[in-house]
Amino acid sequence: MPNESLTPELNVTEYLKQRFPFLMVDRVLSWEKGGKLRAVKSVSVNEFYFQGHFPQYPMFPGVLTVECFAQTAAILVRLTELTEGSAQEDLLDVIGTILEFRFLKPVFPGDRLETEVSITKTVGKNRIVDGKCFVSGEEVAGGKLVFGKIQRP
Amino acid sequence: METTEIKSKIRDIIAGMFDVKPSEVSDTKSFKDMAKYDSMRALEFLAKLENEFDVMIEPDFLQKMQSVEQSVQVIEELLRAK
Repeated sequence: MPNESLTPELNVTEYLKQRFPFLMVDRVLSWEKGGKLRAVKSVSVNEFYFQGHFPQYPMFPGVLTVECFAQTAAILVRLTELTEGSAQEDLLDVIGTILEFRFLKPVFPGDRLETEVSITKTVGKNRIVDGKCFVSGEEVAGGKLVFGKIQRP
Repeated sequence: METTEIKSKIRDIIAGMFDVKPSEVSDTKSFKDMAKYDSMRALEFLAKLENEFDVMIEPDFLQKMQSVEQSVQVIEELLRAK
């Protein structure tokens, strides 16, 4: 269990099941036990999807902003479960419903996309996670997702 | 807000979640008897009710909200308490 004051030392791959090339969180910036978690992804022009999204005009795909949000949320859910002693290795976190999500500004290569999330409701193993995404302190997206579990094959 | 309006909005939410017509949503049938209703859908239902009626609903209330009729009663109580 990481100390919440030492989050830069937290290795995201210990808390996420995703792996290359689909890791959308580089580092956890802060975490308050029972509260918010803030994480960052540095968007690099080197990433493969910029070849097609869009040629001559690279822009970070909105669906990947949702994925950044979801992975940040998954880390928070995992840390919360470890705190509660309810973590189960045979279950995977999945998006159940995108209750709302809006995109306010485009995200470009070179941007440092920070996402801050908090759990607002829990029913059984399912949780509602609320949050916002920022670039240079300015809100670029935000929303609310229902997170559930599926059995790992 | 009138009971009929609350009921109509709840029916619309359930219809949207399960891809059926509002007229096909029973007032008394338990949500648990609907094929796709599970704890994840219950949480979605809760969030949509909160959004629609601008109220806070504790997850424990789900026990008392197993049908449209029951949900109407809970929403009326919450709206009265506002």
